[in-house]
Amino acid sequence: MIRPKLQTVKTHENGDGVASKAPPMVVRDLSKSYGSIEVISGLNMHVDPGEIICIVGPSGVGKTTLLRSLSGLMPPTSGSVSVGGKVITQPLEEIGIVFQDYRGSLMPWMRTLENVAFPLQGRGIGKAEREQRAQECLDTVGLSDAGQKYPWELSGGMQQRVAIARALAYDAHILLMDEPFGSLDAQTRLGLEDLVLDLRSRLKISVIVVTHDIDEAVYLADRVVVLAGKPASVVDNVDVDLGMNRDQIKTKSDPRFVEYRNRVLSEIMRVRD
Amino acid sequence: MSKLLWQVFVVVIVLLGWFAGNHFNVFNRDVIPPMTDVAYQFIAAWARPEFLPAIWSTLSDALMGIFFAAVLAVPLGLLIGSLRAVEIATRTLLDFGRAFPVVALLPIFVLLIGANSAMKIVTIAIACFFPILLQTIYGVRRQEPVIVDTVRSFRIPHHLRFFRVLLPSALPYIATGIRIAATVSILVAVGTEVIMPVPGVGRQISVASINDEVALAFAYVIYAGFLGVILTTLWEIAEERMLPWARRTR
Ligand SMILES: Nc1ncnc2c1ncn2[C@@H]1O[C@H](COP(=O)(O)OP(=O)(O)OP(=O)(O)O)[C@@H](O)[C@H]1O
Ligand SMILES: [Mg+2]
Repeated sequence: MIRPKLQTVKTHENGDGVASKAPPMVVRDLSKSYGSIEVISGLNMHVDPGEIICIVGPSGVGKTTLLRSLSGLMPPTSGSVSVGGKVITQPLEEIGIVFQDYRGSLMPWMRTLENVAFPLQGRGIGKAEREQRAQECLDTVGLSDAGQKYPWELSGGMQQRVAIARALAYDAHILLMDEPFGSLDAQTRLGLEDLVLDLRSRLKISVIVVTHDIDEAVYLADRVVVLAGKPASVVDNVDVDLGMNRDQIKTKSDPRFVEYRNRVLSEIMRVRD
Repeated sequence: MSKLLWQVFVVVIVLLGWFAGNHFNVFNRDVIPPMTDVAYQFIAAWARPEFLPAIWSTLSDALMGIFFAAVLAVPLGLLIGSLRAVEIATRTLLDFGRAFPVVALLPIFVLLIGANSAMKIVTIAIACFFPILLQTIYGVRRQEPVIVDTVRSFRIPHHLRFFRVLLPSALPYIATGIRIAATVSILVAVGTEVIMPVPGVGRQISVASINDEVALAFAYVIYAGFLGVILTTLWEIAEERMLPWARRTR
């Protein structure tokens, strides 16, 4: 599928030589406190164009806090997040978010197509073009026929795909996802994991996924970022060298997969003790 | 279905209790007339020339009262609800207004407007104004945090946010306000008619009791109750049609 572009964007090369439209994201010395309680301290990380990064860490460590800072929804207490060399102070056009609570993030009074097209209306794009792009993005996530349904008429997995389509329609080059598949059944979950991999290779976007599931993290990621500590910081960066083409069965039985998973797991266990 | 069955069952039990109470002379006949007498008057009332005009007067004035209340309360509620400072500043005043007994102002309204339908409509409108206003404010204020984040992250401009997010998400609450107002409107209409010489079902209730026609008065009271139920039910059906999403998501 050819994705229509809103603006011409410089393409960026990442290490693998994939041309990506996504600008690089760099996090420097990011700290975040709620009142006097510091949740994240001196966190550094980077996301190269076209990379899939998975952020794992125990519950309450500050993953959502980090993702909200990356999205520009919440300013860090100190340090900075920059996208394409510019420090962000508010949500950007290039960044699309898929919230953990996808049920709550779709507007129940809008049909699926309207939900996907709505953010484009805010950009002053005409109705016909909006709807065409929304339809294309629904096609991309495999929901061609769901446009005239209401969100509550769709299953959880379908709603989550609508939320992804909405972020894509907005022309997001960096997709932030907060535990996106946490409340779905295993089969739907595996399907959506493959959708994410597929979107990345077709659309050359960067994806940052927060997850509890270590298998999911290793399966999806080019790099797994392990968060731990109180206050939290990055305790390990695991480069996952399993190539671009992954398969739920073959990849997961690959000895290297098992090795990566065990490394991430022991990292998390070590910090927990 | 079984829900309906239970509801019918309860009504039948109450009617049987009423019948038995009179039959075994547990009730004083001057206070609670026999159920059969009331049932007779309930049907016979249709033959009275004043019956339908009285029903219509109560119903139409109640509807007018709700209409004027909604026309004023909804826009004002949207305004107050979207401006946090105004909402906080008006909170005490609104709590006072909600608790205020409008019926106590009736003598003043009679002096100002006279004992007529207009006075009744004003009274109803004032009584209906507060539930609609408070529900509207509540609906606007009660934005789901995820929706707020979504709107911010997609950089939705203010006017779109108001018309496509704030307003629709407040609609179910506004509808609830109007549903409450529907009950209040009939209560206040009938109450006003009983106290003041204005036409309506309430007027017929007080005329019947003055003439010692207790059974007829009871029949009118039951009709007044039905008016409230019918109005609320019709509104619920309309709500289900206009806001099909509201019930499924809450
Ligand atoms: N708005 C807030 N005000 C105060 N404290 C907060 C706030 N949001 C989060 N916290 C605290 O910050 C810490 C990190 O929260 P966060 O939601 O980022 O964790 P998380 O890693 O996403 O957890 P989970 O995996 O359970 O979603 C927690 O201890 C939480 O109690
Ligand atoms: Mg979280």
